[in-house]
Amino acid sequence: MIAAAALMTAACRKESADDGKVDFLLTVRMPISVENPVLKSIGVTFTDVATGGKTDVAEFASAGEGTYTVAASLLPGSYNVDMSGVIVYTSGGAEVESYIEASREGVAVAAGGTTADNSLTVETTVSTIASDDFVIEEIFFTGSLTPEGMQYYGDQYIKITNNSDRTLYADGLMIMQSAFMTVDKYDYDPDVMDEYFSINSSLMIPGSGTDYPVAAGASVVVAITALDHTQYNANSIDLSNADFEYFNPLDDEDVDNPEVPNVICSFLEEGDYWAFHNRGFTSYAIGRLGEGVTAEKFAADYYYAPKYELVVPGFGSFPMDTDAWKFPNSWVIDAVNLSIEEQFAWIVTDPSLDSGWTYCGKVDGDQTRYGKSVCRIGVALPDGRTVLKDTNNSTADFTPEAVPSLM
Amino acid sequence: MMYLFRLYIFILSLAAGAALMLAAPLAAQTPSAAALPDGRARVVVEAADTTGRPLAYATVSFTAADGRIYAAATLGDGRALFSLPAGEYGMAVEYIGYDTRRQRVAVAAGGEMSLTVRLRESAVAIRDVVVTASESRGVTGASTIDRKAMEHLQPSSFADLLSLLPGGSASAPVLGVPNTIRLREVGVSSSDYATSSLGTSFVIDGAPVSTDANMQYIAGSSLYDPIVNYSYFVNAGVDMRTIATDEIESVEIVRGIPSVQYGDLTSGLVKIRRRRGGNDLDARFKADMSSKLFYAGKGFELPERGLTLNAGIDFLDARTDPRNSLENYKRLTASLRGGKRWDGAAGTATLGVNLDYTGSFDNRKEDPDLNNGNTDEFRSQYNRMALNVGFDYEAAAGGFFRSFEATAAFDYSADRIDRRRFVSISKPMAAPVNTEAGEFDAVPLDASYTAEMTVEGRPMSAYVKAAATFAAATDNSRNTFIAGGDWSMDKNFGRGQVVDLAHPLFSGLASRPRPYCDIPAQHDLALFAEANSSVAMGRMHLDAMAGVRAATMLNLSRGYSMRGRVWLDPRLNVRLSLPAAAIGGERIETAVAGGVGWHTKSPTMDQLYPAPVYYDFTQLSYFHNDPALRRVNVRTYVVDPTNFGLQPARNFKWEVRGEIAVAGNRLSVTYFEEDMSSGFRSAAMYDTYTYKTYDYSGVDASQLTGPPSLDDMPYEVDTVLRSRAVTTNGSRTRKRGVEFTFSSQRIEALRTRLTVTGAWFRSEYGNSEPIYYHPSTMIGGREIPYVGIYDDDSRYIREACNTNFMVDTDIPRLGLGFSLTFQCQWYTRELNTHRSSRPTSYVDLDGAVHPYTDASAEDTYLKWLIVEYNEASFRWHGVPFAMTTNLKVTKRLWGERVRAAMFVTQMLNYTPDYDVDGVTVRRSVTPYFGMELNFKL
Repeated sequence: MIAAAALMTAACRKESADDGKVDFLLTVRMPISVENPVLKSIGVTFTDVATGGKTDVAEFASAGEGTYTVAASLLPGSYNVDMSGVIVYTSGGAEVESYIEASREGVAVAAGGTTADNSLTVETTVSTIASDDFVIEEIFFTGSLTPEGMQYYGDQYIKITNNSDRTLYADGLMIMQSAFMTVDKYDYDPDVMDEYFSINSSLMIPGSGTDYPVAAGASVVVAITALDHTQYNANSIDLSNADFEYFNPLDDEDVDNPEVPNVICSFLEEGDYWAFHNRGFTSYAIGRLGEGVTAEKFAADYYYAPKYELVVPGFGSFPMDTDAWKFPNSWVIDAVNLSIEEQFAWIVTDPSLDSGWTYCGKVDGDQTRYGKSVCRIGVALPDGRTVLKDTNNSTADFTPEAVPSLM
Repeated sequence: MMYLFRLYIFILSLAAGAALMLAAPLAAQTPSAAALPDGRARVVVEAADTTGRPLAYATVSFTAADGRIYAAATLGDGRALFSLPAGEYGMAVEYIGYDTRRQRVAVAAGGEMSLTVRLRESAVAIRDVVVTASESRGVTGASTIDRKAMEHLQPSSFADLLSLLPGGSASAPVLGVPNTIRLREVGVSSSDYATSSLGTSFVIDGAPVSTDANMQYIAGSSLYDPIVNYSYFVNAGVDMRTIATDEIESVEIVRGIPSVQYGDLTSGLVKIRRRRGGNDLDARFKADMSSKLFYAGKGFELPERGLTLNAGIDFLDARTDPRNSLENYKRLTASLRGGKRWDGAAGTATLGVNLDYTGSFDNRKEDPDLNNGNTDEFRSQYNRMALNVGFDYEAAAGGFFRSFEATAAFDYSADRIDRRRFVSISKPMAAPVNTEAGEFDAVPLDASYTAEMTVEGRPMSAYVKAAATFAAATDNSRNTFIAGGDWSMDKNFGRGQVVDLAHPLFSGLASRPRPYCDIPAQHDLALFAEANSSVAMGRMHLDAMAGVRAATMLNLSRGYSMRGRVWLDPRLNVRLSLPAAAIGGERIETAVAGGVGWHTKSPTMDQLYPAPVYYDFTQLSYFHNDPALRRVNVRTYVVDPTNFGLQPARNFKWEVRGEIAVAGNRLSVTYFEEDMSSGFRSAAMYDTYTYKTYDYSGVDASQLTGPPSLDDMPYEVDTVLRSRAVTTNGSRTRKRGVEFTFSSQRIEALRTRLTVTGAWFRSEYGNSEPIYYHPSTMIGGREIPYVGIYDDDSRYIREACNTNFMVDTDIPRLGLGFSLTFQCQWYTRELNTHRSSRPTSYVDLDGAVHPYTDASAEDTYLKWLIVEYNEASFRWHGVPFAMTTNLKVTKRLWGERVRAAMFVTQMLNYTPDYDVDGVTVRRSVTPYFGMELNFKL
């Protein structure tokens, strides 16, 4: 900071005749993973690390061979560069529109530097910054504390949002809990993570295909119990307007709000009750079963029983096994890894689904986590639409320990 | 030097002993009583102490002029029989702790002679103390622990004494949970294998401690409730924490096959005899790292009037963790015992009356600071009052009738568990409040409340035993016959489980009240007959105990298959003393012994009359946003889980033992096998239940003024499978092992004795009946509609081998005694065997059983009955050598009137790290120490 400030002071003195700005050239390479990409629009934000001042540039020029340049005029200093754009490419003979993105931190812009010095080349990747489907907008998994300081978790919910620009149907949407925990890393054998998301349970939104339309930008809230929880716990929330709730008719104490349709418990490995892990050790995903695959067929054909060695330092090594199902990554629409800083061991999804993780609470059993949720960040697209950021990196896409949107 | 030589002789004689044992059957053919070979004479030697009390197992030897030795041990009446060629002999009578008597004896051919030898207690041996358990020299495998050993051990409860048994080892006491006994096994922590401890009978002054009516538990709570975990010992026998040791004179722990006089046991017998008489005032104050103990006792004795009176009181205050004041255990015992003896010309009669109180209190609390100031407590208390009257009549010498004994005992306990906790529901819930079967509306639970549950037990037991002994002797044998019977009764008068259904202890635990006083009384009746014979066979001696016990249960209702049935326990123990031999001038005595027998334990009250099981199925849950419209309807089933086919647990044991003694060094090695295939087990049985699922979609909430009516609401009928826990005879426990005890003579120069005890145990625990399993997987909102039947649950195989080397030194001149014990655990290893992955058959919702075929394995639902296991977990897991050492020091002051003692358990330890699959396993044990002051005034 001091160095940057000194640099700026020096720059101001030297370039006093002008406004002090220097030229900076950003070269953007198209993603190599797609065929014949053509840049349609771009938005580049240069953020001055020292002052926080932002410079936006939307003009670009083609430089041939899948390369484009963006010229900016900046004060010398250190910048964070965030870039997003829209490309068109051919896929299977059809033209597909997609988003690309790239970012760099601490890029130096030197006073009096040559153009060669003040330039940057970035590789871009196709991003799902605004995936054309549902996304998990929010998970309120921590529950709340009662006025007597006791745990209450009947108010857990997940909010799923249509992040596309058209109406989607929530019918058949699966809400899945990971079989593995982000705080315990084992070498599961066989390892199928690059192709499958391993789950121990799933809820499914009912419907025949078009029963539950969700408008662009609209959300569905799936509650564990869709009731006004403030009747039971003054610190809780009113979920009587949730779109769906989980009701287990086989649990003789669970209750069912007749005004709110129930989700189906598609499969559940152990125990008789579905709930979010309230310390946030498991990950969640939404998806749809493949064409013609029923829950029964999935349960039978995608059963997965990995074995692993439980190594407890100082105590020994214990061979273990677990029961799970493997859900193909290609059927996953969105995934979020949850963990805690103190014990984070690994992410339990393939990085193509989620390469980061988010949290409520930093240590195991964190007493400060209650009444907080993880919430996806909204971003403005180049076309002006506001969508939820989905770069498949929950670390960047989510606000951890957020105020629950329904509280 | 002399000692080393003796040790050397001892080792030599081991080999000789083995040869002699093989030769035993041949030697057994030598002279019978009927006809003496020519030139021989019958000689009877009676050994007694200076007061005339016969000395059993004294060694009598005759050395002929040609150097041949004829030796035998005296029998229970102190007599030994010989058939000797005429001639001059040097006779020696030896007995440990007594001066050896030697004299010349001339034996005339064809004659009969009788000699009585009185032995004087040896001046040195009088002060000698045995500070460890001594292996019995009787016909069965047993350990005897006397007052001196207990004083040296410094126990807090009876549980501490078990470290003296072969295979036992001392460690820090665990007084926060019930201590149940484990004999001859490695042990596995599962209530399915608790029959061994349930089937070990504790007999105090002739009356067994009955725990059959103990039902102090909170249903389901171990799953939900960490605060009470392991706090129950229902169906697991006696909690040894409740037995104080200070009033005990001696303990005999029969690991082998006990006399048929003792029944309702499978695995062992603990006979406790308490002090009578004396005029001492004793006091003891003990403090160790987690407990404090106070004891005071006084004895009165008026020998001229044959009167004794003893009174004692004991208080133990223990904490699980000395830093934790929220979890503690307290024991208070008081004992008053009187005895009267009448000596008459015809015989001697004795009467003993005991009155005892035992209070045992477990308290546990959650720290309110960690529980947001909310209540969470558990208290469990036992208050046992026992009255025991024993009468004994012994006829004066001679005659067929020898003695008669009768015991009548009665005890009554006031037991109570109080569980209190603040409950705050974690989500909106409704709970059923009906106690009967049928369709009922459930009530919504309050958001928070303080739940209270009481388990009130009032177990009562009565016991009567009567037995008569008759004797008959031939020229070379002594025979006694015992015949008698016993009857015991158990009944519980308590209010049982008292609950408030609308305020359950745990949301999710709809437990129902259950009065114990409605359970019928349980009666056990047994008759027994036993013959004990001692036969002199030339230079050998045969002792045999053969008996049979017939037991039945009374007051069982017609449904029970045990009704009217009688179980026979034949038991046989034999001991053969082989001819004494001499190597290098040292006498070698050897004996072989063996036993075989059946043992039967009838089920407990909880196993015979289990609590009814309630199943509540939600038929309608209409939990509207408007509380006035809410209705939750359940269908409740009440199922009696009684297993009318339940049988007693039966254990078959056999053992062989070899004993050898050389110059006061004594070794005993026992090999045993036990097989109990009908141990009690809680097995899951499945039944189908049907209930309605109401479809409320036709209800228009806007038209409702109250909860919806069920009358016209459409419904579907659903069928589900539910398990109930049933007590079966499905647990098999197999025990095998070798136990050995070696005790050396005290080395005079060092005033030191070496005792080596140890054991190798292999214990196997498994199911003896097929296992039912219902996968908990749910698919499409439904359960798997099948239950699999599997051959093998995992069998648990456990092995352990240990040896304790105890060096004890007693220096009377300094009043100092100390012992150092090296406890070597050579290894332990365990294996959980393969479990059946695939069922042999399955049950469907109609209750029909079908074979499980390859086609089943392909079925969408049936394939879930195949359970995948990580085969790598079914492997041996071994733990290598570790050693701990214990130190005990006793200092006697002021003519033994004051004794100060201290102990350190696990003082110096060698517990090396070892590797399992490349993972280093670290072990650590921490020293545990304490000290005490004793006064004898």
